[in-house]
Amino acid sequence: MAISAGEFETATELAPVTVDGKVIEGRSLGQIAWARLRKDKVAMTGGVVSLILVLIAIAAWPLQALGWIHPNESNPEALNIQSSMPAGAFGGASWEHPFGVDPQLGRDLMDRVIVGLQTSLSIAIMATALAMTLGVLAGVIAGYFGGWIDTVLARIMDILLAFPVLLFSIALLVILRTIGEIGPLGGNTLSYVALVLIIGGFGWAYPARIIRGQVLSMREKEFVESARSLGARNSRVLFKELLPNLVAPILVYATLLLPVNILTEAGLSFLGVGLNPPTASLGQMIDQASRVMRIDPTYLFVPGITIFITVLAFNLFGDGLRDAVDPKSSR
Amino acid sequence: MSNYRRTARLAAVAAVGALVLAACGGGDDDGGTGGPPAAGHEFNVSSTRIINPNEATGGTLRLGGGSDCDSWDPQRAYYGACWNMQRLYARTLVAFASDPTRSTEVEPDLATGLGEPNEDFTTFTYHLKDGIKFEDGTPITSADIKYSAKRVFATDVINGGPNSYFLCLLSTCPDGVNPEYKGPYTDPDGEPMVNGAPAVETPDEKTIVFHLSQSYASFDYLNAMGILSPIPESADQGSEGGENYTQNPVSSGPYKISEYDRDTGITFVRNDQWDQATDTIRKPKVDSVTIEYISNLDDLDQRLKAGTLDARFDGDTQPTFQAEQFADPTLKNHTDNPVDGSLSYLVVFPQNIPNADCRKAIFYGINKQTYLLAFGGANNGEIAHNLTPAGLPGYDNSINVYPNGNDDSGDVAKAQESLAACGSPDGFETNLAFVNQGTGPQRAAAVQEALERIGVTVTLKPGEAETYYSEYIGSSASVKENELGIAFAGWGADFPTTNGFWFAISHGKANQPTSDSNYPDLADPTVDQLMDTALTAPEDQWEQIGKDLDTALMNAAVFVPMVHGKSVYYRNERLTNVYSTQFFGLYDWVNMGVSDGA
Repeated sequence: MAISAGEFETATELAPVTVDGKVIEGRSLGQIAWARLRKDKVAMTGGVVSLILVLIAIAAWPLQALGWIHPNESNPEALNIQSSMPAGAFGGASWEHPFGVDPQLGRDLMDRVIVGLQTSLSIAIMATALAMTLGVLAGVIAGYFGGWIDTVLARIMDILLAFPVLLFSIALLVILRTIGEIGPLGGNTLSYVALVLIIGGFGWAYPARIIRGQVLSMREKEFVESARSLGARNSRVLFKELLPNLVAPILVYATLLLPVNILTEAGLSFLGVGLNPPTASLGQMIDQASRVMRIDPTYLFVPGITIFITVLAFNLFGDGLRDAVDPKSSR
Repeated sequence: MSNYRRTARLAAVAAVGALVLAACGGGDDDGGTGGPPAAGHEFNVSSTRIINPNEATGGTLRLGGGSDCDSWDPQRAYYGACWNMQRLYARTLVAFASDPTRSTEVEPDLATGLGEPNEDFTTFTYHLKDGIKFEDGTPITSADIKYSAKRVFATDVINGGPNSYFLCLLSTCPDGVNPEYKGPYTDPDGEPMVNGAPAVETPDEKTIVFHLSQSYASFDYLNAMGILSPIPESADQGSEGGENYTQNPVSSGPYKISEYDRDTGITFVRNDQWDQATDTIRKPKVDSVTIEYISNLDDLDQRLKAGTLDARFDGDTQPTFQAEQFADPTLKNHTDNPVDGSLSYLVVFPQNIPNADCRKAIFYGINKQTYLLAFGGANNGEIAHNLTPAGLPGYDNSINVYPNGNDDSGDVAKAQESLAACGSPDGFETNLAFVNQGTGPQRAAAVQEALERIGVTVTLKPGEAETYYSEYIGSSASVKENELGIAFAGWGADFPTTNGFWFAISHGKANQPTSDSNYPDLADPTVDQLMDTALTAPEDQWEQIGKDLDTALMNAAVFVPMVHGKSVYYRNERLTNVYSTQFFGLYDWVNMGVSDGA
């Protein structure tokens, strides 16, 4: 539950309080949340790590353009010519290839993890943005207007929640791959757009439900009533009165949805319906590595630990953010 | 029809060169009296000598397999491993020799001698031995073989096997593809006819005469396939026959099926009606042979390593166990790594890249070194310069029509010359078809990277494994529609002659609009004529014809030879009389024994 605007207004109207001669200033909701978040060391660590990962993912473009990383360049000299497994210990790790190389082609794993991170994060972030946009729209409309609109939207959410999303996604992605081209979209672009649309398009039901609940409880509140009695139109009530009060739950849910989407993308790639090779993808790397994990465990650990750290960092940050903006929520 | 079947089948026509080398070091031929070290388990010797020769009988040979055979009906199987298993229960007029150094040769089995041809190789006569019986004790007669030959034509039921060699050979085909006779199920009184006369004649119980629609000098090789093993008409009736014959095929060999479950395994026990006196190829030792199906191939390898399974009947060990096999000296002594007679090649489609110089740019620009690594490394194959695999007439890997650098990593300058000659000096764009499974994606990445160097931009177009050969690259319409420029393909011979390897993938007559294996729609008069000549040429000319054909195909610039495949097998310490038959590429199970009698 979020802090309602009513409480917020009451809090700022209190007279200044002084302790030992210092005036304790009134603080905004954001300031309070930030102060709480800053004290939460775990969440801050998660946040910093997430930020670094996002920066690495963004940096992958210029790094590739400048020729500093070569995710698709094979290095036959780093492989054992007989077995085509990485030559040397720890998956062929060396100064040149700090995380080792992949079997069969000898591509640098650090470079591939950087690009794989970019793939995973960009798909997950766009899918999350899509899911949240759809979810907020559906939730606000259903909660505010009620009646038959609510009934229809709520049933759609129920259907989506009960839907075998993974199976359907696999089937859909396989079909899209067979079709190959839709309009201007083809090959990897099509797979990319399809992954975003599928992950985002099936992920909006949960946020929509939460937002709908919030709006249901808020629309009978005094500030909404007063806005309406002053003659505000629906759009004004929705966007100027309700939406600002939903920022906190939206932010929190988006931060928590992101790691789920990273895992979904990795899962679909693992199952072979993600982006086409040779595009680096963490899920695909794990799939390939699982076949040789006893002889080349490094290949499994590198993408595995990357996904683990990414998901953990975003989750910790999301949890901390939720606690900060809504300390009353149960854990 | 999947090529991988055929590739898997011909798992090891051993390198002739390797044979000669090993024969020099191998020493005594009989092996039985040699010292223990020379006779025991050693790395990669099963194709050159018999390991642990021992006449002791009894015990159970315990095999493992990744899955069931495509069929136990000898007429409907196409996997090489399953053809190899047929040696246990399906005898043929002639069969491959059980000598590791001569096992691409055929010897008389049910017949008293090899086929007696007429002058132009259109008629072959065989005489049956005395004392040959089915498992129920009824004598095997020429009528049983004639019934098999008729049954081949029931292609609506008896499908999946190598019937394409027989349909228009044992019958006249008015349209060149479809015989008039439709098999004994729909036409019990009819029979296949060649030029108005019956194709298969049985003047008496012991004589069978085949009249062919064209000259076919190597007809004995066709008779060595289990598809012409005798099948009693009485056993092919009602609910037991036709489609269900795979459940319990009637044995003519030293073993018969006692238990069979598609999901768990199959057990063979000795057939007491089989008489050693009638059989010079088989000398069975064990009382029973079991195959356990284990779908997790890494688990199967663990069972091999623990010694609870003796060998795998249907293929290579997995990369994980392979690494251990080559690293551990004891495991390595129980490992075979033969050249397996398969060819991994690139099809460069003239349908979409019509200019030969543009195609040649790919030949020069390709990097076979990185491709071999992506293929699995030198343990799984060697770089191919010529097309014909080892063990077939015309194999000579020192011939390289399109040399691409000293280390086979590509000759960029030569490739650019070809590109200039074809009018696209800056390269061109094309699509690559591959199976999105196993090593496919890695090999595709290697090809893409190599051709990028010469300005040829390759877009990867993955296909599904089940339909890849039949509908994706085997259909002319699909090749056009997907604008495929290059495709991965693999092939192994159906029988060890020039036609047994090349006919289906390159002869103009084998070119069909859909589901064919002549992917580039090749109809090259020189190529076709060389293959037709090979059908009737005397054996001493086969080698030269094979070489000429290889060169003619290279000149056509549609097949890029990439890798001559090698297999990795494991054999248990307790096995005796171990050798591999080079044609099937696998161990000869029928003569194998176990030293502990268990």
